[in-house]
Amino acid sequence: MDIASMANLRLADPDGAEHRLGDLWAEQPVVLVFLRHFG
Amino acid sequence: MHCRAHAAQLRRDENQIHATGARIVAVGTGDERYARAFIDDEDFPYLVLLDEDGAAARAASVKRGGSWALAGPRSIIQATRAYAQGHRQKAIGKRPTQLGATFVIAPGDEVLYEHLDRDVADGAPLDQILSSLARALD
Repeated sequence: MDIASMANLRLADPDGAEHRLGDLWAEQPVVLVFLRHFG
Repeated sequence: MHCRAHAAQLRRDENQIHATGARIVAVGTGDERYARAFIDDEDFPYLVLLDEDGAAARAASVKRGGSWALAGPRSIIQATRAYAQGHRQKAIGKRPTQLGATFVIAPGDEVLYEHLDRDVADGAPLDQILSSLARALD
């Protein structure tokens, strides 16, 4: 994993709000799960 | 792992994960419509993020499966088991060959654990996730 690239990525949630990934784990550990797809 | 079976597994494991102070975040390949349907159908309570262009999957080196990984014996058995448990795949979505993966990441951009699924049947064992989270608390 390229953690530096990951941390700086911004992804939207289904409501359109953007989240910088690194902010998600800035204060607490995160279990980050890549689902295969939403089908 | 079948995404809906994976969602059910996370719900089963969430108490043990949350007890460590960790948060669960899911990243999926579909668009807003797919994600919303998935969240509603599965009563999925976690933050879900949309990796529509695959940038996160590439940065995380998430694998793509060939025919063996997607439809080999292990995958067929897992799909049959998921079907028997009532999980129904409703759409294929984007990047259907992308496999799953699980990471535990701590403050300071510290990657405590990574599991890149090797086929559809694969998934991160809960005990390994919890062990990595225990190290974060040390």
